[in-house]
Amino acid sequence: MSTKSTSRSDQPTPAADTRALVLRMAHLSRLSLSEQELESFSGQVGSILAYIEQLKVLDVAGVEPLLSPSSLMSEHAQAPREDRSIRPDAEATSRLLACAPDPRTDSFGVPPVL
Amino acid sequence: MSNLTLPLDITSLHRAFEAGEWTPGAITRYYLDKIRANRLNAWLNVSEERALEQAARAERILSDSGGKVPLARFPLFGVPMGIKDNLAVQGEKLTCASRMLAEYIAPYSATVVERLESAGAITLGKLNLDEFAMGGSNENSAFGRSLHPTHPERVTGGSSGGSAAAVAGGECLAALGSDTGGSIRLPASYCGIFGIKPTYGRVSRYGLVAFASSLDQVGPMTRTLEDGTRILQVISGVDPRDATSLVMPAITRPQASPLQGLRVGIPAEFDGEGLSSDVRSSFQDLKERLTRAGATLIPCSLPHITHSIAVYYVLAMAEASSNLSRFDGVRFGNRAATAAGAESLEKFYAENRSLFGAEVKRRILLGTFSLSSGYADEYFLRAAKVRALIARDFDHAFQNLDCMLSPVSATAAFRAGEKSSAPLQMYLNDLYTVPANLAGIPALSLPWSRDSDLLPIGMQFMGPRGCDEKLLGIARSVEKLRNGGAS
Repeated sequence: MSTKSTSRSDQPTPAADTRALVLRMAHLSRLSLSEQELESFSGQVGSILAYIEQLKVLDVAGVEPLLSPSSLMSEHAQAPREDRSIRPDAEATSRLLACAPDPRTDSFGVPPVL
Repeated sequence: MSNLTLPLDITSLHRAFEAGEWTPGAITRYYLDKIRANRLNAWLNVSEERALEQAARAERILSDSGGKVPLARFPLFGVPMGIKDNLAVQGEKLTCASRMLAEYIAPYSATVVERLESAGAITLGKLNLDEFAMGGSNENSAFGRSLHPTHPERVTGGSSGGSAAAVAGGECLAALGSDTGGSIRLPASYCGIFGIKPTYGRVSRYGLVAFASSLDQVGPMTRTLEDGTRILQVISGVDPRDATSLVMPAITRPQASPLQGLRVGIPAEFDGEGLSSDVRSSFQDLKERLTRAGATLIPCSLPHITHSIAVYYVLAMAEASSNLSRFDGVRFGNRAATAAGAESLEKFYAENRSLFGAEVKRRILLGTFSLSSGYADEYFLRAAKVRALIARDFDHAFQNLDCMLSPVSATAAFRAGEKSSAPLQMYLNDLYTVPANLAGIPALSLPWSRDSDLLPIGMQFMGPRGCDEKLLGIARSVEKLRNGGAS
């Protein structure tokens, strides 16, 4: 995919084969989709991506990305925390383990998958 | 049940306590009865035991203080509240309206919940939302949508639909919501109440289940602006457990700021096409009344704001796909019944993640796309750069303005089912609210009028980043203007 193009027309859009794209993204994000989901998502994802294409006409050369509004309030930012691990007590450990679908004494249970 | 008038705001509630007309226990039981009936499907879980214990404690405190409400120590003394079910309340279910977390019990409380409870509030239960706060109509809840209190065939708006329905429908005195792209302001507008999204970082996100971490912010949903302000005073302020929370004092209660000479920006991009005739005339009416009260309306332009929805859906979905990767059926949440027989680890994860609903899956897929190798620069990074331009547009415009005004939405509450098959149409409904989240500025929804079907119409006031008090002061005057008083 070209990274410098500024016009819409000369850019191959991912909307062209959204079914393959959706399958690939489902694999990457560990989602299993039914045939019906695949069908409806492909159409919807196609139109959403086509809509997002509008961003490509903007000239963003030299613009710093804004990843969080925190960076615009840096004069009020908290000092970084001390790099120190906190060892949970036994009570906290069992409280957290209790949130798991298959808690064991000191670990998370999972079925054998090999 | 008592024949006495039900106190509809915090001041009246405290007056009723002191007059002996209501007790904390009586008002709590009154609301618990309503919640058990759950007429609007606004509630996902009732914390009856917790609420009754808190009420009993309030009664002891009240009797110890000779019947006087100890306001200085407990500013929200005995206030029965609902909490959006993406906020943790220790020992209570935290479902995010998802099958993934249907049985999950929160092991700790969110900072905002701790602060409310320390201030004397009573936690009645957890309120319905779109699954993981992803949606604008509450129709994406795995447990069914909440109903609009006066027009049940209409949506409440979302994602904090349960919060809006419960407050407007008289099932709690106030509620907390969360707002990632309008999720407090839109349902507040549709249901006719106040909803405030503070400056990003003024309220702690610790204990809020993350949807899009750079956009999420918690705020109050209330019948009066005064109540919203009082709740904000309690929940705002730095929290060391949320590294993005700002080192700023808690929000204070501002004086009503004079409308005479107030510079109100009207963004050209928000003043044109697409508004329904009812919203347009409501907007016009507010502008005329502001002018008559001495405010100056100043046309302004936010040239990049038309790209807000495209930017938002790239960034929010990217952050969501990352945040929701933790739900794999191993450490918390539910495990799918089919997962036990999975032949690979990958299939095991995929089976568990099939517990997500359609909208959540759709967003994870799109977010994964815009972060994936080969597309990240052209999608995620480009959107983050346009976000910078949008924030800059706001900062530039605010140099000569005290606030900006727009409708909250192009229409009043729409009919359930009307937009559910067309996600893009649903996304475009957030056009007026999303920009404030992208720029991290404070914005609120103020119930201004009703349309010919008596559906509420809200107006949005936006202020410069960090100037929440100033925005609340302006809104106080506008609320008076609406109520017919002089400003």
